[in-house]
Amino acid sequence: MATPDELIPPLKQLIVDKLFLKVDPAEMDADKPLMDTYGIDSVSLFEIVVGLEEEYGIVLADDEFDIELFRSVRSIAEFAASKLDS
Amino acid sequence: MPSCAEVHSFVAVEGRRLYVAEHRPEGAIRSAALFCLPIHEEEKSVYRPMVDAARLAAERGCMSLRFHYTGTGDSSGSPLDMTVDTLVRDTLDAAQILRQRSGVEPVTLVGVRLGAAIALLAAERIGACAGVLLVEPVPSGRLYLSRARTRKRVRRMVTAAEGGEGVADSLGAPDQPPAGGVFDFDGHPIAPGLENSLAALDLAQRTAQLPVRVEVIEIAPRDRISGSVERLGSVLEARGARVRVRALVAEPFWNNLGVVHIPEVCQAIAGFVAGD
Repeated sequence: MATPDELIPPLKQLIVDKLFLKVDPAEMDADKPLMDTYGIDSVSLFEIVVGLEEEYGIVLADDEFDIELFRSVRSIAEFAASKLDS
Repeated sequence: MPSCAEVHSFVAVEGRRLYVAEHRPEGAIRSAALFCLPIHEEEKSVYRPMVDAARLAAERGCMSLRFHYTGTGDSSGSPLDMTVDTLVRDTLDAAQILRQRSGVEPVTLVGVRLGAAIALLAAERIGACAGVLLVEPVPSGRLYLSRARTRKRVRRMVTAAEGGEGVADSLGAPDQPPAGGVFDFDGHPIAPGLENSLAALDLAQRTAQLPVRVEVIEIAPRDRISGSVERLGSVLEARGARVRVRALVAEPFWNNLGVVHIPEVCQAIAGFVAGD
C-alpha cells in the first residue's frame, strides 16, 4: 500500500502534466494551497480528477466531491492513499 | 481574412433544416472534408479551432464543410430528440451535401471527441470514403457520460466553495434522473434517447469492415499513446483499416473555457485532409 508521502512525487508530476504547469514538480510545495498558488479553476480540477481515475483507478464517490480534498498536493495524496488502501 | 470562399447556408433535408458552412479553396478542389464536432460544452470549446483548421485545409486545396447537428446551433429541431442515430444521420446528410457541392465523391471525415465516434460510425455507411481522422476520440458512450457527470460535479463543487449553490442541493440524488428523465449537463439537456444510445456506444465492439485510411490523434501532456487508444487502433486494424496512431502534445482544448489556439492540431488536420 502506498503512503501519502510516497504518492506525493507522482501526484506532483500528474498535476504538472495534466495542467501544463511551467514548474518543476520537485520544486512544488506539497502543503501550499493548490488553487491559489497555481490559479487552478474547475477545468483544472476536472483534469486532476480524471488523472486520478486514469492513473490510479480512483473514482470519487458523490459525497467525496469536497473542495478541501483538493486544498494541496498533500491532501490529495492523503485521500488517494486512503482510497487505494480501502 | 481567410484566403478561401466561405458560404453559410441552410439545406432542407427530409423536413429538417441543416446549417452548413463551406470553406472552398480559391483554386482547384483536390479533396473534400467533413468536420464532425462534439456536442454541448465541448462543441463550444472546439468550434473556433475547427474553423481555423477548415480554413487551413482550404489553403491546401481541400474543400471543407462544417455543420450543426439537428437540435443544435442554427439547425432546426429540438435537442431533446437528439440520439446517436440522429447525429450519424446528420453526418451522412452533410457528407452528401459536401459531395454535391465539391464534386468530390470520396470525402474525408474529421471528428473530434464525440464527433470522432460519430464520424467512425458514419464511415461504415458513407460509401466512398477517403479517410477518417479521429482527434481524441470518445471510445465509449458510458465513459463520456461518466466524465460529463464528473465535470458537472467538479463545477458545482467549485461553485459551492465560492459561495454559490451547494453540491447536494444542485445535483440532487446522484445519477438519478429528474422528472421527465432529462439530465441537465451544464445547461444542456441529455434526454433518455441520447443517454441510452450513448450508453450503447462502444467503438471497440464495432466489427463492420472499414477498409479506409484512419488516423487516431491522442491529445496528451506527453508524447505517449495511452492503452485505450492503442486498443482502438488495434480494433480498427482488425476491421481492415490502414491505421496510424500518434500523440500530439497539447492541452485538452475541448475542455477549455477561453479562446483556444492549437496550431499543431490544426496543421495535423489540414495535412490529413489534404492527403499529405
